Amino acid sequence: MDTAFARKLNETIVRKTTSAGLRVAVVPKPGFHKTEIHLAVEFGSIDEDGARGLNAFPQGTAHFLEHMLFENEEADPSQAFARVGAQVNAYTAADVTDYYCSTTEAWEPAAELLFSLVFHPSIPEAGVLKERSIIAREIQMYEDDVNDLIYEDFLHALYAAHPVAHPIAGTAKSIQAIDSEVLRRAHAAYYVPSNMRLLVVGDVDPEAVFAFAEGIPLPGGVRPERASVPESRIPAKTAVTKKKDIRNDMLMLGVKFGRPNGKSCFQNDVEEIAWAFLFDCLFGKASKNHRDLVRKGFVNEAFEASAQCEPDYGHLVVYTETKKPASAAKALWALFDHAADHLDPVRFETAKRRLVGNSVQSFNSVSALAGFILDYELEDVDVFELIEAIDRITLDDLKALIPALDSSARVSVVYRRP
Amino acid sequence: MIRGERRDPEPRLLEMEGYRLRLVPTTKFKTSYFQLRFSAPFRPETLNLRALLPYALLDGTATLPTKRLFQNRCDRLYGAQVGAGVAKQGMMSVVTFSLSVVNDHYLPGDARVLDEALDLFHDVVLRPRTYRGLIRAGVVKDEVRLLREDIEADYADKAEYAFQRMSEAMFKDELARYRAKGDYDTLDKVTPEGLTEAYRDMLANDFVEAVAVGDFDSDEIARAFSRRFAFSPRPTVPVWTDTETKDITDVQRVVEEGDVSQARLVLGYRLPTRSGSKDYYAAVVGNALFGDSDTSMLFRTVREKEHLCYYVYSVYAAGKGAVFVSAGVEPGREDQASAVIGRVKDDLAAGRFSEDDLTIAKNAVVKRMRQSTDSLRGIVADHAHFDRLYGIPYDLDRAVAAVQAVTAEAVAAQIALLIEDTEYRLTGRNR
Repeated sequence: MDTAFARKLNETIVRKTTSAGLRVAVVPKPGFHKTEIHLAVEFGSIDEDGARGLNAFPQGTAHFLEHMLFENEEADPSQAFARVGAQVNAYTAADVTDYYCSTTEAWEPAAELLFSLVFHPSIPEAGVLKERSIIAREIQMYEDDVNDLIYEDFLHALYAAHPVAHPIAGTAKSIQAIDSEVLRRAHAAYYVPSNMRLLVVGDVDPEAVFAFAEGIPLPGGVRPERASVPESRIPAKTAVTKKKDIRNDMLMLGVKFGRPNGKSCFQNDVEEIAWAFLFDCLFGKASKNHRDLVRKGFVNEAFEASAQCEPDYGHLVVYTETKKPASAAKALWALFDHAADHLDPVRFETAKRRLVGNSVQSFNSVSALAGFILDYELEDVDVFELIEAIDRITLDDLKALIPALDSSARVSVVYRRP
Repeated sequence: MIRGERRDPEPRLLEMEGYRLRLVPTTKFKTSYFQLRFSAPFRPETLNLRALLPYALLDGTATLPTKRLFQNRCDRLYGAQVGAGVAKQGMMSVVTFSLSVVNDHYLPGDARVLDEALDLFHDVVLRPRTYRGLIRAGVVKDEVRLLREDIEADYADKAEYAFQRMSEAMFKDELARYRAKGDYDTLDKVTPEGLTEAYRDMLANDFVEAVAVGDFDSDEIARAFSRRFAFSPRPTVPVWTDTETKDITDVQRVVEEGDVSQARLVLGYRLPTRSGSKDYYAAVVGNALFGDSDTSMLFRTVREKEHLCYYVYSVYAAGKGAVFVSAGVEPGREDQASAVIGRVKDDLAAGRFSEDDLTIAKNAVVKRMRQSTDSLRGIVADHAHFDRLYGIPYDLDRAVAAVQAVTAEAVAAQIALLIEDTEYRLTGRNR
C-alpha cells in the first residue's frame, strides 16, 4: 500500500495494485455523502487504428462496446444500480473507456454491480442491432452540434496520420461493420485487469476498498501495448472555411506540435500548465491585450485557449466567437509572433497564485475530483507532485515554448454565418 | 453524521439591517462561499437592465476601476471568484452576487485573503466605478455586445433553441415567456442613465438575502457582514411561485424547420403543484418516475424499448408549475415518439407502475438530495428553498422522510394532473 499525503492541502491518495494487476487508488473524503467509483479501461478511439493499437477495429468500436455493456437481456443495469441507491454511467474518450457509478448509500453493492457490468457482458446480436440504431441517433446529435463539428474539422486539419482525429463514436457507415464478434474480440483484448484502473473517491476506508478489489475474481490477460504514431509538425491543411446555420462566426486557431517529444507524461502535464501561463501573459483576462481584443470586437466571453500535450500527439487550440474572424485571427497570430514581448514576471507570479488557489478548490467536489484524478492516475502521474511542480515553473520555461509557435505549424478553421 | 466526524455547528438565520443572513458553518470544503441576492418583481420593462447590471458591475469598482485590475486582484487573492447573474424565480427577478474564496489555512505560508476578498465583494455591489454619477457608456456598449453574442451562441444549441421556442409559445401571455438572460431585440436600447437608475432602484427597494457557507466562525462572519452591508427597510414582499396560467382547450402545435439532422421534440405540460405545496414531493417523485433519469419510464420506453431517440427526459419547473419533456428523435418518427410519450404519461396516471419502479424513483430523488449537501451551491439552494417557502431551516433527514412517505396513489394523482399545453417540433429541411 502506498500513501501520498499533501500536508497543507490535508488530502490523501492511497494506491495499491491487486494480484490480478488491477491498479487501485482511493481518495478518502470524510463527511461527504457521495461516493464515486470509476472502473476505467485503457481503450479508446485512438486504439482502433491498426497503426497504434493491437489490431484494427472499425471506428467507433470502443464506444459501441461501452453502449453494449449496458445491454443485458435479463436485467436493466441502470435499474439494478438504482435499487441499491446508485446511478451508473460511462463515456468513451480518445484513450479511455470509463465506467462509473455514484451512490449516497453503502458503496460495496454498487461496486459489485459495476465489476459485473464491465467484466461479464452478454453482447447478444439482437442487442447489437438495437444499440446500432441508438448510436446512429447519437451521431446525428453530434452532427447538429457546431461546437463538436468545428473541433472535428480542426483535428482533421492538424493530423494526417494520428487516429486522435477520428470521431470517437465512429461514423454512420463505420458502425455498420461492428457486430457481436468484433465487440467480443475487443473486450477480450482490452478488458483485462492490468489494462484497467479502479478509483474510489468518498467517505470510504481504503483498506476495505483494496480488500474488495482483491476478493473479486477477475480474468487474467496481457496488457496490450500502444504503439506510437509519428506525426510531423506540418499540419495536413492550414485553413478550412465552412458556412453554417449560426448567428455569430466561430474561429478556431491552432498550432501543431511535433511528436514524439521524448518527454514523460508528467513532463507533458507540466508543459500544459506552462502553456496556460503563457496564454495568461499573452491574452489572459488581466492583460492589456485581452482588453484590446474585446474592445475591437475580435473576441467575446467564449474566448479560450489551452494546450494538449500527449507523448505522441499535441497541439494548442484558441477559440472564440467573433463578427470579425479575419481581423481576429490576424491579431491573435500577431501576438504569437511577438510572444516573447508579452512575458511579464509580475503577471506570471500572479497567475501562479490563481492556479494554486484553483487546485485547492478542485478538492471541493467528489465528482470533479474523481474526474481529474482519474486522468492523472491513468498516466501514473501523482497529482500532488504536479501541484508542487507549478511553483517550479519559471519564465524561462515559458520562453522555451515560444519556438513551437512557428508559423509553418499553424491551422485556422472558420465557421461563417449565412 | 458519518463515522465519528466532528459535528458542524447548527446553521443560523440572523436578522441584519435590511436583510437576513443565513449562516451554514461546515468543515467539508476548502473554500467558503457567499451570496447576496436582490429580488424585485419580474417586469419586461426592467428585464434587460437587470440582465446587464451584474456584468456592468463586474467591469470595475471605484477602487479597481478596470476589468484588468479587478481580475488581477482576484488572482492575487489566490483565485477568488466574484460572480454575478440574474434569474427569474417565481414572480421575481433575482440578481445574485457571489464570492468563492479559498480558506486561509490551505494557502501557502500565512497568506490571509478572506477579509480582502469580502472588501472586493462589497465594492462590486456597493462601490461601482461611475463617470459623472453614471455607469460608464463604454461599459454599457461592451456588455451589450457581449450579451448579444452570448444569446446568439444559444441558437447553435438546438435542444436549447427548441426549448426556448416551445416556451415562447406555451407562455405567450405570461411572464414565463421572457428569458431573464435578456431580450435580444431590445438590448441596444439600454442607456447608462437607465442602467444606473436600475442599480439605484435595486439597492433602495429590492428584497435582500445573504448567505454564507464554509469553514468559519459564524459570529465572525456575522460581524464581517454587518460592517460591510446595511440596507434601509424595504417594502418589497417577494412572491416565490409563479401562478400565472390559462385555460387549455386544445394542445397548441408548433412546427418549425431548421438545419438539423435529428428532429427535436419538446412537450410542455401544466402542473398545478408548485414549490411549497403539500404535494410538492409527490410531484418531484412523479417527475423522477416519468422522465428525470435513465431509469425513468420515458427513457426505458422511448429510447430502450422503441429506440426512437438518443435522449429523452423531463424537467419539473416547480416554481412555475410546469413539466417539460425534451427528446431528440429520428427524423420522420416524431408522431410515433409523441404518441409513446403520451402513452407513458397515461399509464403512470392510471397507476400502471410497480412498487419497484416507485422505489427506484424515490432512490434517485433521495440520492440527489443527499449529494446536494456535498456542494456549496447545493447547500445554498436547499436553504433558500426552505427559508423562502416554509420559513424553517432546511433539514435533510426530514426532507428525505417526506420523500419516503410519498405513496403510489399520490404519484399517480400528480401525473394525472398533467395537462398538455404545447407541442413543439424542430424538423430538418430538405427531406
